[in-house]
Amino acid sequence: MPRYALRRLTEALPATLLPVAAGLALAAMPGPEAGGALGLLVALALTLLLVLPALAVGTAVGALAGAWAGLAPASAAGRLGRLLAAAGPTLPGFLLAAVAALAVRAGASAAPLGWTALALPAACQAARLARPAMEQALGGALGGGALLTAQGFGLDERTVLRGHALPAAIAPALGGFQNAVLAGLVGTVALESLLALPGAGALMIDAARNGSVAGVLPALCGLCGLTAFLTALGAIARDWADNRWADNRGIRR
Amino acid sequence: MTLGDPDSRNGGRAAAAMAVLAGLALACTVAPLMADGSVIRRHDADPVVAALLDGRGSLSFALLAGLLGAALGLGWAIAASALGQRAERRMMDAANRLLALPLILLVPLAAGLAGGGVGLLAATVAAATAPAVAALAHAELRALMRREFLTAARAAGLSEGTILRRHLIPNARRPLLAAGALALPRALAAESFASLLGLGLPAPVGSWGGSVGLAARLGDGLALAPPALLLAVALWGLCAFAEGLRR
Repeated sequence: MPRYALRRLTEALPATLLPVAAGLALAAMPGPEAGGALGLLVALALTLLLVLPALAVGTAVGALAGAWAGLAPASAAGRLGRLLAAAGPTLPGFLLAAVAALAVRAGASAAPLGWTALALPAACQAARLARPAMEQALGGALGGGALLTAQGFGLDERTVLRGHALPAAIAPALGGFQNAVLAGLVGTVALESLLALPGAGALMIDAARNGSVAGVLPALCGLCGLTAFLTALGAIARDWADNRWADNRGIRR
Repeated sequence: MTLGDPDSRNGGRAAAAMAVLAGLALACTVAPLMADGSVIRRHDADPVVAALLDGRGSLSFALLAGLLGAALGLGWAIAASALGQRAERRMMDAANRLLALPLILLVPLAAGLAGGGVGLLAATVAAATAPAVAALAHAELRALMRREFLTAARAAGLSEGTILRRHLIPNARRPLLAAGALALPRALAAESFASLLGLGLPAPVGSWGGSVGLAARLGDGLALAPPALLLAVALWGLCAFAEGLRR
């Protein structure tokens, strides 16, 4: 594992483990809501299983489509990137979760629809950030210098694009990963609640409906820990993109 | 500024967003005239009319909670900037730490645990949106403080009061307004999320989120589409308006 990844994970350990441990401790306490620590752990695992692939795929697709929108706006991928970037604020995760829940009730398969509903807001956010970054990298006043230098060194267009412009476009999209995580978690809570999935979000909302603080707190703590963990994963991905860009430019970190 | 440059595009988008929001607000206001009968019952009404009736609750709540959140966030940022470096660092550290947490989850939780009520819901939504407003407003204020005309004014021997009156307040108005406007779409999204889960605005008030949640549970696509579309349009309008003010 690269050193920067280890550093990020180590930094995120207190913010991840302490809330999760607090949640597990609260869940293990005897009381009317005693679902147990194991129940909470399973629920958190399910929530992670829902949100992590959706965020990863959504961010990757959105960043690439957004970068393509900056490179070739009239191409099919460019049009998709422009569409995602424009649709950003109109597609909150909880609204898509409701549409997915409706489709599931009409007989559609839950897993792919749920993941798509959670991936779309992340894709929109990434495309929104990647498109202007790509435009700037290709010809803007600030980032364009690196590309001109690379071309001046005789690198071909494909190398310049892959090695310089693309990482420059993807890095900001990964920088906004924290917002995507927060939006993704909100969508996941809505999806779990609407589809009655046994995730941490549904546990928390059910407990809130019953007016049970003892049921709400463990799940809330667990979700806060999950947020910190996912944010740390985003930071690792951003460091990877930054390092790759630095390597391509011959900068050693 | 030319027609194709980003500033012009954003200005046009902000104007379009304002027009859309004004149209939406007007349609929601006159919706009772479209409903037949003297007593307005949303569930009996046409889905579009019902969604417009719900819009009155959602939009007015977003305005109330958004203004509260904006005031709280702006107050936070201004206090941080005014109280000296140490307090500034602590206050903005706190805002940034809160920004990393899923604060929006507190809205349905507070409504569920405390038994609901518009006042409590508005206070929770305001508290959930304030850190984002504070962080943006503080960044704008910091950028403004570094501007050359302030240095020049100080070098010219103007008093701090004069600088504040003549330079700082007129130049800070727009960026602070833009930071405050960020609270409106966030407030609408937070309320809609809570109402979708059945833990938001009380049923008689009506809410797009509540109607979407109910339709999703009942599997009624016709009832889901109008409030979902209106909510999406309102969110787009509020976001575009806030972004247009920023640039």
